[in-house]
Amino acid sequence: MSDVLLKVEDLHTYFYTYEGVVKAVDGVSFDIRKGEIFGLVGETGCGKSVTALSIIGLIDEPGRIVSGKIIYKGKNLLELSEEERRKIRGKEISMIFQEPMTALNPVYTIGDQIVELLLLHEEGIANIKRAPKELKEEKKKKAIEMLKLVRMPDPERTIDSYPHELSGGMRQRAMISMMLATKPSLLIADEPTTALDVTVQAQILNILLDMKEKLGISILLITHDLSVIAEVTDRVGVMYAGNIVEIADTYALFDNPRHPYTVGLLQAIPSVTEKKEELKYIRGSVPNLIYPPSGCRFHPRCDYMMPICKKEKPKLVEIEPGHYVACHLFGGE
Amino acid sequence: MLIPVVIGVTLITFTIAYVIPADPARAWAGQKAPPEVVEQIREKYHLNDPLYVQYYYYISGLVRGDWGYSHSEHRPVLDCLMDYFPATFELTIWAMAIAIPVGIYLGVVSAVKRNKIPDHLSRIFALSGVSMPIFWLGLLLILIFYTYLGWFPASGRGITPSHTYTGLYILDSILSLDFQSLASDIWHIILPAVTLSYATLAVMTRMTRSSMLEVLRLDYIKTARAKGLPDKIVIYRHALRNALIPTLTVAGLAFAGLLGGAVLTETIFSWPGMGRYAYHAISTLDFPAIMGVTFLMAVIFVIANLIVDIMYAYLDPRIKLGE
Amino acid sequence: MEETASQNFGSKYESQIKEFKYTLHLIRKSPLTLAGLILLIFIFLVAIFAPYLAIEHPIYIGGQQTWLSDFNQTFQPPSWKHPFGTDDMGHDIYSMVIYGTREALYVGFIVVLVAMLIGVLLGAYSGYIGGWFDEVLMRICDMFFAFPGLILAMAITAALGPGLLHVMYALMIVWWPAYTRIVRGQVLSVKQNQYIEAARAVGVSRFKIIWKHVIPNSLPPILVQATMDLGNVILTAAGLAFLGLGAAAYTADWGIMVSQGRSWMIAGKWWWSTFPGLAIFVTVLAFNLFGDGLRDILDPRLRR
Repeated sequence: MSDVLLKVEDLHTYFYTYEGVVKAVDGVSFDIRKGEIFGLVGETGCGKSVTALSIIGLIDEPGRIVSGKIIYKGKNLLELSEEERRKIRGKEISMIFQEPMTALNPVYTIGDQIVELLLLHEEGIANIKRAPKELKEEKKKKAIEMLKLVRMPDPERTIDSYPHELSGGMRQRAMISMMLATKPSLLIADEPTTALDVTVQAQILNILLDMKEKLGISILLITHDLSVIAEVTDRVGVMYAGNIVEIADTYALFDNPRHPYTVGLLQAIPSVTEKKEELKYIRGSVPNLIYPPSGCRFHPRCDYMMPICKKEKPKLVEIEPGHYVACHLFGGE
Repeated sequence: MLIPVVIGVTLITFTIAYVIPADPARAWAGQKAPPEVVEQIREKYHLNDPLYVQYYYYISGLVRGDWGYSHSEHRPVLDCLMDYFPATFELTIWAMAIAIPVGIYLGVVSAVKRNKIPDHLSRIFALSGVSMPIFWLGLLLILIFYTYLGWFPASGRGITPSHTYTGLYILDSILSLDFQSLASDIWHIILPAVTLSYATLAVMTRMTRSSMLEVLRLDYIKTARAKGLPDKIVIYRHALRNALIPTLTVAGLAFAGLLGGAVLTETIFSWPGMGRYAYHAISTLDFPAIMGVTFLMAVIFVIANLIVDIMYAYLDPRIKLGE
Repeated sequence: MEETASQNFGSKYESQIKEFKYTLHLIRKSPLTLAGLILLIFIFLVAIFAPYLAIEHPIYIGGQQTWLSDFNQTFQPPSWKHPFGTDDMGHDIYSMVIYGTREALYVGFIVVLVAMLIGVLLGAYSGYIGGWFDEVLMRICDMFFAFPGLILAMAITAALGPGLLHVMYALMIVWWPAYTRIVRGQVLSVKQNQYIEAARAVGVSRFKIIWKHVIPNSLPPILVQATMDLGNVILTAAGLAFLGLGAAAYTADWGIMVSQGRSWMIAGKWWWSTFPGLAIFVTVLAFNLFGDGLRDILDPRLRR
């Protein structure tokens, strides 16, 4: 298993709020291999974003990583000091966010924001104002190269633009080029296309695929959109209420979903080829994560509920090579 | 931009001076003035004519530099204001120089350490500042630092520099290389400037805190942190630069408090500026002087806000001047 | 039947009750807000029970407040007999400070209430109908905003002639535009809401819409503003009194007391100015502490 880049083991991230302890991530394990796009899919509030923020180390008060391991290239990130983690952030593990409109600082040019990152990780200069002019020029050239790589139109001009002068899709490109400028090994993309128009979405996804090929990076792609998953990911983890319920190769998951929740999700996608009488949906709603259901968290909404589901939390078991499911329907054998 | 606002200002000062008093001529002439003088003023300012005619003469008077006659000083109001303006200007500039950096710094600390001890302390400090009667603070400082400790003088501007170019004593002392007066002038300005700055400092702290809290939640702060930038850079370069934009508006508004506070501070510290002039004018019922100070302070305030607008465009690339 | 009714009530207002409980929790969690509240209660109690708390009492001659002088007791430093000392006429400063609470609160409440009333009426009307009326009114407000508040109040009081009543008129004139603008802004944002459109569509009268929908919805920010302004008005009134524009000398007015004691401060007779000044500070601070906390608590963006 030397091709594993990042391994998340039994991660628990809780939020200590007025209403109680929100168990946003409650025992999540998965791994990301070198050079693959791993998708994490689930409904809003299932803990996918919190998982991502835990990996990059940006969990804020009142949240806290309670237990678990995040092993990156053999090191447990959770045992590192804040200073050591900071040096990994942006250099080895980068992250892009959902809203390209607000994720770039409005008062600095695109170029400044990319150059800042390059100076920080390549030269160890945190304050861009302290950098010598020639060095800044050099980094700026590199930044233009990066913009070209993400097929930014007119990169020489864009580099001196402010974010508000660009469209949403261009901003997301700028964002990707910035976060990949240091050639990290892992890019976390949190709903990178959700806020964009459908046509632009496809472009951005293509760029991500392209980057994976050209730079050999791994990508953790977080989305609630199964069509995005189907388009670009190599493997998928399905999350439900703070747990991972199924992990499989993308093809296997769509072809042969095993967990009732995954089955429900897939059936809920409208299809053009098949005429359905009515759209299927999963009854009930996302559970409260302060008082999650006992046993399997999906049991109140599950059509195949058995007595054991209420009592015992199912473990993630490998039912076929590379296909893991956490469900009592498959646990027995 | 400037002209319509100043016209608005004159409409209000005109109303206060010509419409509100029961007998404007008497008010303008002074309570002790003989009837002939009152009659003279009534003639001169056409006080028996309709209001719009009076307004016309009022405006043309302002434009020509005839701001009325200050009977407490036995000379034209504008002459007095010219004499007193530099002292007030110097005092407010120094108060600003203390209030803005310290206020912003405390606001940042407060926001970053939200709901922790430093935040509580700086909030109490700031709330005290906006609640403190400025004249009382001045008196307490005099009691402590002059009466008991004897560290600072309690009144006046200090030694007049050997040459006065601008009327700003500290600047003039430096320009004329008069270090004796420089020391004395700095010595004299410390207590009044600190007194005057406190309220503005408090306002700046509160505004910086709330706009920092707003900004710190935004996505680009997450981005900056995801880049691996140290907290200091995230806070000062990425958050503060954006948080300053709304804070600046308040700095402009706070300047109003500074001008009002100057009247009280100058009175306490016998600082020979427009504020103390206004105070004397009140006690001698020198109405033209009060109106002169009011008009000039409003104009200064309007100009201060214009400067804020210009700085706005500098700080925020999304705003282009003239749009 | 009854049980279901009460259950309905419970479930209907469940979210409101929860919110209210959460608000109480926030007040408890915020020590500064709580301190402000306790101080305010204390100040109101002092104002109400002033005749029982004071040692000396004013008499009124022709409606003019007068304190009896005692020339054997001039410039007494604080003691058990005179907790805050006495002034140059032998008046008990403690008693005058106590009675001064009444005056300060009176000035604050009257000025803010009148300014608020004018602001709510003009702002709601102007924001709702818009057009030239709105345009003219806003330009008038802008004119007022071009002046530093204290300076404008000073000029108006000087024009009216010194006196407490005139100070109050001046403060009302200075303060109404702020409320007009807040209310107008609120009305404009509430007006966008769909339920207002719906009410208009079904033919509810303009007055009724303003009264029933627009005003209640703009209330929270106005109340926060009013709480803080109570402090600001008291502070500005004290400043005007200090300049000699307010109440007469030797009356239970904090501003004039500080002003009268001022020249004695340098000579070391600190109590005359210090205690009334402290009273102003504590009162204004209490309103600001509470108002500030209230704003944070009512602000939906900062709630969680």
